[in-house]
Amino acid sequence: MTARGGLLAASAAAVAVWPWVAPRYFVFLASLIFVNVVVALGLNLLSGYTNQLSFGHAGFLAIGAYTAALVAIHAPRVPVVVTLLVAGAVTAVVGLAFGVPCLRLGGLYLTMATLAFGFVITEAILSLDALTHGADGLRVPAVRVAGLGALGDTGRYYLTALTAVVMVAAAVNVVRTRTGRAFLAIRESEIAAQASGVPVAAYKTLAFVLSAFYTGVAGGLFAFVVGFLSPDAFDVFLSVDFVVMIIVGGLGSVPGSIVGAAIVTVLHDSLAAFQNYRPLIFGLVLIACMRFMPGGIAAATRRISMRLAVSLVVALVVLGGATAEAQQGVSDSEIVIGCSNSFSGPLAYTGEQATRYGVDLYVKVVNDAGGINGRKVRTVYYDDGYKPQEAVANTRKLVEQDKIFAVIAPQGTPPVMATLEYLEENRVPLLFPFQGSPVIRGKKYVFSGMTLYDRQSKMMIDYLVGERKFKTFGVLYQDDDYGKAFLTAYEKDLARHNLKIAAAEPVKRGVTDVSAQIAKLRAAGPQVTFLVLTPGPGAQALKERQKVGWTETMMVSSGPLTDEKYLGLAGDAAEGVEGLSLWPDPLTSDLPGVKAYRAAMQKYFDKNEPNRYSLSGYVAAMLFAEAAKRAGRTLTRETLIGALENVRGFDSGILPPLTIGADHETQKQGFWVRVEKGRFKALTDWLKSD
Amino acid sequence: MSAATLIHVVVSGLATGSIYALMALALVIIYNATRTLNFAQGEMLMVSTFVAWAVQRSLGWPLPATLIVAVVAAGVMAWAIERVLIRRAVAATHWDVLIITVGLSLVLRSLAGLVWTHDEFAFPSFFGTRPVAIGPVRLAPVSLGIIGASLSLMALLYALFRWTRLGRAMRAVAQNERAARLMGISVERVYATSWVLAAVVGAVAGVLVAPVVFLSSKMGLIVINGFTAAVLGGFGSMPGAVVGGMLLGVIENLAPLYLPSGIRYSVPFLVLIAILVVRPAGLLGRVEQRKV
Repeated sequence: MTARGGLLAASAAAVAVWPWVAPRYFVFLASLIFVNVVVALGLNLLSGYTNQLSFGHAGFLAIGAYTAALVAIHAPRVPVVVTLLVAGAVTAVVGLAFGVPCLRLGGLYLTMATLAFGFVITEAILSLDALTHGADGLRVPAVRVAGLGALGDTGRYYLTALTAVVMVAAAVNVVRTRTGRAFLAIRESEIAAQASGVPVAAYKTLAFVLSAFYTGVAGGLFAFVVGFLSPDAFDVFLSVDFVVMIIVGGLGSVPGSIVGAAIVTVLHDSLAAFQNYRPLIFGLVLIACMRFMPGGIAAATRRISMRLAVSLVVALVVLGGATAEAQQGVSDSEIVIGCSNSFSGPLAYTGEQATRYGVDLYVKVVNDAGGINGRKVRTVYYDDGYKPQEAVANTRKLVEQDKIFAVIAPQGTPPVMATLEYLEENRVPLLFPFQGSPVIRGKKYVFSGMTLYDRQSKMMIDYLVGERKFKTFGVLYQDDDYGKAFLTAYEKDLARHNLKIAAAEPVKRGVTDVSAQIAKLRAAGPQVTFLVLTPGPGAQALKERQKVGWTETMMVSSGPLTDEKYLGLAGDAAEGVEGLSLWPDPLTSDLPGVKAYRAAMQKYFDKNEPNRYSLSGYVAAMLFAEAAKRAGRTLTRETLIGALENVRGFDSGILPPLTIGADHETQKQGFWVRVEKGRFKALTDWLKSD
Repeated sequence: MSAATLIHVVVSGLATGSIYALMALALVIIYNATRTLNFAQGEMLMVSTFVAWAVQRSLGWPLPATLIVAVVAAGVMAWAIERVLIRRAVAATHWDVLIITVGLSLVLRSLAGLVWTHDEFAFPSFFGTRPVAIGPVRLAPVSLGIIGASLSLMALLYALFRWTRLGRAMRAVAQNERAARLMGISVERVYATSWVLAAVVGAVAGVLVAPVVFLSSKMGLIVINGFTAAVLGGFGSMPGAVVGGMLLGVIENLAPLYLPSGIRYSVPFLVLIAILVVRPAGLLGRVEQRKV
């Protein structure tokens, strides 16, 4: 047997026995690696072999993933192999339709076109919401195989591994044939290839279709491994990650694609623990790779840096594994809780405040006072950058490696939704997520945090229609799950009063200008305009209204928007704005609990300004500590749930007395505020939403 | 929709478009010199604006001084980045530089978050908030100011490229690097100057746009619109970058005005793909003749 054959046999054996020797989480991680290997192969066939760099492969992955998910939902009896082939074929057709016109584009232009393609696909997923459930996300049913039933972690692992092996073998064969040589000739010089009789256009198209097919199949696997899809999963940074995989691994190399995919996947996973340092370290690694290892790992195999890279991967895996612990999160001296949250990406500020300056703030208070029934609380957080697939990976790592007792205060509907089923299955409590979509109702192990959006809408409409006698309403909403959940709730609550929304205008996340939306709303002339936005765009809307001098409408902010940050950004344009407030003012409120919160902040994090996000995390930790204390020394997940369900009239000193029943809802109220001289002034007491 | 509203929305779009145009110009300046894309252009803009803001807040300097701080900070940063990271990698394939700048953008964004948090901050504006009324048309001074300032900067750039020795050297390098080198032009110096110049243009754009979109570590994402604008106009063409930017800004604003919400946000990208298919080199770009 040759050395090469020996290596192959050893790898095959390792792949085959992995699920039986590795911890559960590493089986999952390996499945993710196989998915990424297939994408990297596909991208490398296009970029490495024909020199057409694509920044749109997250788009192809999305097409494959949604196709597979839809097949699995609507035709559950189709065998999984067929589903994957359909996913690949549909993506290949899209690749063909997109690739043919792009043939005329060279180098940079093609890259830009693929970047645009990625954006179009995310928009398409959002707007085809009848099919894709838009921003709410789509739950993917478990894979069923005849004779085996629904596949678990091990089953999914073998599915991805087998698919990856087949795809690798196919790729190796393709690149060795006439086609592969034609690809390489095109990479070296299109003109020379053309002159030597290679039909360049045909082969470039073929590369595009082949690449799309690979990525589509990977998308199908992705859907089954992650179990939840939402447009946030497939942003441009995912495409960048794929490019990084093949460049680190080596352009135009099959083994390079495999190594690159493995390194990037493992790196991402290990870095999640570094929270807001994660992108920093990832960026530095990229720069270092390029400066010291141009041509990727494949080109460096004969150099010392290869050994360095391999030892790096091994070190990272060990580092990841070393955090493993024995208990289910409760030992004689310690309780471990944690969550996956945004420490990078669009909601990084909120995530960091809610966890490191919110939950941790109260944890410090509790620990310094002797802990909970003699046990100290320890927290673990991982960064998901608001991507559902990373939230799934992080949550599994928390449960399976860190053995946390409960998940506390994760953020955002798509990332929370993606982990819901897994947590229920594994009976891990999910406590007080920072999101208000009602989709989390009716779960045995889930307790809501902020007042759910439908309750907020009910209070807002009942107050405005009932007490203030307003009749016409417009909505300016963020084009995602948060905005749409409010929109639906407003429609429903207005219908109860026999009223309708006069105009509703969506605003895209990260938009630079809202003048057109304001102009359209103004044309409809509503008495009240609801703002369901985040602080930046919310303040932009107020400024735009001031710019055009639209005074005939009253702007009203949704619960999540009503905060000091948004006032500060809008300046004098915020005067007279009203809104539903879910929290007392963290900076000025005289409530005893808020004063204690400010004092604690002063004591432990004196550089951090008090704000609503950290206050919400602080309350979450306070509630957890209260329930854990009541559950007593024999703290288990079941006794914790029992204790939480029996919370009656708990006074946090911050919120009105909290009663949690079988409905698992903690906050149910809010109060009305108006902005006067740059501060919120309460107009009502706590409103009721029952 | 009344004509007055339409004019207001278009002018707003032109203001946003001016910013895109400046971003596109910054990208094109670097592209012309080194044939690479600077993915970190947006993050460099973000960092220089943050530096200016921090100086303004702690030392209480007046706004024009802040602008100078931003420009100087951007210039120094760009010079250092070019010197330390880019120059030695330029010789390799241009994908290498692209990935370095991708890494750089992650690093800069993350560092900004560590220093200034990922929060959003209000940034003082040069222009007032009271609308200017011309007949029934109400225009925001911010929009007019951004358009005016951007156009002045573009005029300066035009003069620089057209009439100065340095500008001629940069154009020569863009046309044919080897010939330029043989003519005694220091190509390395052109590289460095291009990076600095691009960063300076970005810094001005940053100070102009920060009061509108607010200062935050996310601000650099505007570079994606800059890319789109540059490709629309034809990558490598400076007038193209301006036209592309303005066009993109206006399209972005008109689409929500006339189209249903389902497809409006795809419109800029669909226009981009369509233009690339009809005119692969962009609106004002020229197809480069590749020699064997």
